[in-house]
Amino acid sequence: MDMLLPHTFAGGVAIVLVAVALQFALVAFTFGQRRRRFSAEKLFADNQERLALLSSISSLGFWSWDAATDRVWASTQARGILGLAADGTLLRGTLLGAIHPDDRAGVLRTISVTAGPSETLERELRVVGTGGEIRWITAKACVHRNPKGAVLRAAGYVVDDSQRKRAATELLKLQEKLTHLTRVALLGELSGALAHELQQPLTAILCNAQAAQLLVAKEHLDVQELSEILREIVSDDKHAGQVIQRLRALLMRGETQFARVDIEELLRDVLSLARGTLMERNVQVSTRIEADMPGVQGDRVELQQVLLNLVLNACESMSGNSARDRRVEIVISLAPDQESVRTSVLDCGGGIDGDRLERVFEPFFTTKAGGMGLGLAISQSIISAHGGRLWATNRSDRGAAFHFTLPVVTREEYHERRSANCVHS
Amino acid sequence: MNAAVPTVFIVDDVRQVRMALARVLSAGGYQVRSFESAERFLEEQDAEAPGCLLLDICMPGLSGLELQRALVDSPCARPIVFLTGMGDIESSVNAMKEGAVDFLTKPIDDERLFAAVELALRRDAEHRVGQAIRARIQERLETLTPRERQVMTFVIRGRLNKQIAAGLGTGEKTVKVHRARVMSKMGARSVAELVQLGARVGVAIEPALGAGTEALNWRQA
Repeated sequence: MDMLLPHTFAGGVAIVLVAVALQFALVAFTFGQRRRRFSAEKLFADNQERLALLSSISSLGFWSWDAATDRVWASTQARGILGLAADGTLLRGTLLGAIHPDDRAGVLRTISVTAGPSETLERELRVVGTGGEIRWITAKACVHRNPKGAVLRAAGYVVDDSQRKRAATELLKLQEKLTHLTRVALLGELSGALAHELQQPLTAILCNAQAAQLLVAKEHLDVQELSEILREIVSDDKHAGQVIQRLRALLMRGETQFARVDIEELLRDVLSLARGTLMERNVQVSTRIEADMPGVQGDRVELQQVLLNLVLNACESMSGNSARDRRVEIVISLAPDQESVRTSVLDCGGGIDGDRLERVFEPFFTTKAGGMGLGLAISQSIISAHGGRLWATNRSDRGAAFHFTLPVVTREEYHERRSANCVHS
Repeated sequence: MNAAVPTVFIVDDVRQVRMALARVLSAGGYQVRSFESAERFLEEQDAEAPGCLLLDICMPGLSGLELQRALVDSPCARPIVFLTGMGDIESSVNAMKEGAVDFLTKPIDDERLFAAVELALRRDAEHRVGQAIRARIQERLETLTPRERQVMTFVIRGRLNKQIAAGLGTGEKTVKVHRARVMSKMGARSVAELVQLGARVGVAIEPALGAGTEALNWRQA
């Protein structure tokens, strides 16, 4: 019986065993699957967590887009930066819709320019926040294309630049304020001479007007003389007006204005502003201007400030010379690179010690008793914002020379350099 | 241009101001000549012409104050009215010390200008009258013989004929003759007048140190 049993149930037992084994295998498989899924899920969660952490500490927002599904995935940070809903499906159009209308075309243009199967694009752009506020962001993306150039996938990050931009703007404003203040201080040096400059036309006007009064009181009126007097009064009044206007332009704290500047005219204006001071200090000025200078672009008032600063410094440097020995030469020529205009202000003062040729441009470095030591530092920052260079040399015989170059730059280059200059300084 | 009428010499480097000053002064009835620089004035001025200077302080080249210094004590010195754009105290003090008539700050009112010019012209006229008188006295003095000059010195000092005769070692009668000639040549009617004439041209009245040793002490006016 005992022997029979296995025979009788052998088949059944085998089936059961197989079934149990299968069951075990299935359970084991299931467990394995679950464990694998579990660890995959954990990995995914870990990655998500890491991404979120990275995202938050770097304030980067990540996103990716697949052309096949047109689905956009964006991290919470990215959605925040781009002003998108915190959840919900995102399409390519949604992403583009977040971009400020003025920048959208530019972004599309950037994308459409094919460079290779995979490339990295970067640009600054504006987005409109949920509250309608405009934010500056930097977007960097990696784009994969098929051989025909169509975009397959794109991924990248966005970072909020508003704060940096705001800081840069603040800094720019401060810089402008400082530039303006040094300009006002510079004009303070001129004030006595400028008052003198205004007193001349005022004197002429008063004398002419009173002469006319006396003439009118006479029995025989000389009409021709009277009209001559009136003509003079008008012309003197206009002259006084011009002096005030030139002064006002320098005193006003307007935003910097980028325009074509005629360097000869600039020099003329500066010399007429400084005329009184030059005369008071017995300084003779000679100018040498090469023919056919190319036009220079820049902020007229700031460039005037630089030139005025250099001319007044030159006068100052010769205060120890005898009254007959105070000459300033101003030379405007084409720089050796043929692409910028060079202006040199040469004096015949004591020159600059070799180790100070660079230091004179440092802020608060001054050799003048009442000087702030900002004039040359500001001048240098103005010139470098214009893409040029300001430097000092000693002349071979005696005296110092200050030179600055002004390349022909575009408005965009100027603004870019201005803000870059500001952030670094 | 009338040489006898006093002239206001204007020196200012700014053309408009120069012309306007000339105009208002002409309208005020003055004879005017203007110059664009101190150097120009020195070259072209008529040294003899009576008048005054209206001088700008701040000019390229020779300044107004430098011109004043160059003219002071020269025979063609004239009273100066200064004009200045800046009411600088130091230069105005210096200018007044050197004998400027007035120091006007631009812009100038015509009444103030006329008053200053009037004063300057009056001073010039007075100066010239004094000078003419001195020249006449000088001429008369030069007609005296050396002996007569000696006698005149004694007379001015109030010596009596007897004392003079003793001092010169001559007779009283001779002295009397000399004295009468001195009085007529000098055109003096009394000793007091003679003393005045002498004082005008700087004949010093020193106390006599010893009879006979004194001579006339001439000083050109």
